[in-house]
Amino acid sequence: MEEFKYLIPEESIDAIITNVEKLREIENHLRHVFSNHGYNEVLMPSFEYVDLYTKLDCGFTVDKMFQYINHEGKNVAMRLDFTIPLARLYANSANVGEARYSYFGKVYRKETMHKGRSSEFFQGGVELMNKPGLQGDKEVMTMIQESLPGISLKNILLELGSAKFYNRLLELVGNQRNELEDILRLRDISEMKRFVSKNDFGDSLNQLLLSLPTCFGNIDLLHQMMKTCQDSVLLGALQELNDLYESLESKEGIIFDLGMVPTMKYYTGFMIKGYSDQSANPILSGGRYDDLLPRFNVEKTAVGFCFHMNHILKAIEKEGE
Amino acid sequence: MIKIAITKGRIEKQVCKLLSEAGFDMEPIFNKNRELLIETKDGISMIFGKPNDVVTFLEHGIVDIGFVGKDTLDDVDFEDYYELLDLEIGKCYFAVAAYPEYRDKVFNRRKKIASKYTNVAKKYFASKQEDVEIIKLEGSVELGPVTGISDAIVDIVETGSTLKANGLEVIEKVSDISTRMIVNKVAFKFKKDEIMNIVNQLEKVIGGNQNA
Repeated sequence: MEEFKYLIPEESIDAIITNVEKLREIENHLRHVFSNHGYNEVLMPSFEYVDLYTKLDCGFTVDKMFQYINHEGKNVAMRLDFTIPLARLYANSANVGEARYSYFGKVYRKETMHKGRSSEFFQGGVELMNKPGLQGDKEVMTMIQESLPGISLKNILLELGSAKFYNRLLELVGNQRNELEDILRLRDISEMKRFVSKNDFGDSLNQLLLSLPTCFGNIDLLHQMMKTCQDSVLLGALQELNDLYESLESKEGIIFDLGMVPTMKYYTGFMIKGYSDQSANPILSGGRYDDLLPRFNVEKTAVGFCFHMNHILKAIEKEGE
Repeated sequence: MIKIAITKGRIEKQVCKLLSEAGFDMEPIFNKNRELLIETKDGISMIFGKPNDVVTFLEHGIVDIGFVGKDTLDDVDFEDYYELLDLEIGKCYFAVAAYPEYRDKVFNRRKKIASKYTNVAKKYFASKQEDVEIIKLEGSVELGPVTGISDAIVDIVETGSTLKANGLEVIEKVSDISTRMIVNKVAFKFKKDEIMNIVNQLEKVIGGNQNA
């Protein structure tokens, strides 16, 4: 049987035929927003050393990688993400000032078979290097908000979390940090109750921990949490989220999630996820990761985000039904 | 409209009883025949499926809430869900079981372990720094030691009567199992009030059901 004449590998994404025009339209809109803000589009390589993703201790695991051994005997992976290669690019450039990169392209991640998932993800995003603090955060948040109208989805939520808040929580529970991490990742209300009654961290922290699995909502929730929060580092993190919120011209669709767990270890400040009610996966994600460039021995800050184009396209198709 | 997927069979019965005690209209469910999709007066639509499928539907956003055993969540590499509540029903546990001689037997080779839950078995022995050979059996796993295809099994133990009837006993407990309420991550953002209403109502009746 000449199966190759009609089958594609299970890893492959189906050819996109009907909505390519729509996809390119969104892409061009994003490109327009990015270049208006002075971002240079970069075409990045498709192959990277596996070490780049694993040896910096960012949280990437080899089981997600499509890899082979090259002529040097080294493991090479298909591009798994854009942020790390762009951080390398910046770290090795003569530029030590601000830098603005944008990118469009696919990343490749192995997914479990037969779950209706594909292994190719089309992303479009930006990295802003060496613009620390609120000014940098505000710049990327503004770009996200300017991008949304061109995506033409009706219901979008932009959810802000804080890696600073999260990292401080882990510090406060000391040896129990792994357990807390698992509980928050699953939002396990029952397990959190057991965790708190088993360890007893004092009234104030106990109450905070118990609230975290469901601690998301609009600005009122953030203000409420700021009133009751007693730890100065936690409060500082919440204050930063509030400052970012206040700095934005539009507050539409912005919510906060204080139980948000960083997807990568290098996150240090605000984190963002964008949701559409038509997509079971986030349509955008990003945040501030001042801990990334130092891993390349460059003491500079970074912030960025990317849109998940496949999920956006799927959501648009669903909304049109 | 909240969409729920429930694991068919025993979990379905226990969860619907609990939801009914929590004040939700479950009459259409109790009176159903072979329908796979049912709507209730509370604006809840329910589908019934195999445990893995419940998680698959949930991760794809077909349903907002799922009721499924911890055994399923432990064994399959799903990751796109929140595990909000332990309903404390359907309690049982994973255990290593074998003939009593297994305890003191010296193995000059890798142990052979039969299980339907190969990931659970593999992870458990790995956590004990033991390298074992896993043999997948789909059911009546006790046949492993009985037929000699394996030295021991990793399986769900409820009363232990099947083990006993075959001369086997629990060697070590692996982990606790009970029924969990899981939620689609994005649905939780858009339908927080409806989902928290179910959580709050359920929390009032959890734990009162130990002998169900």
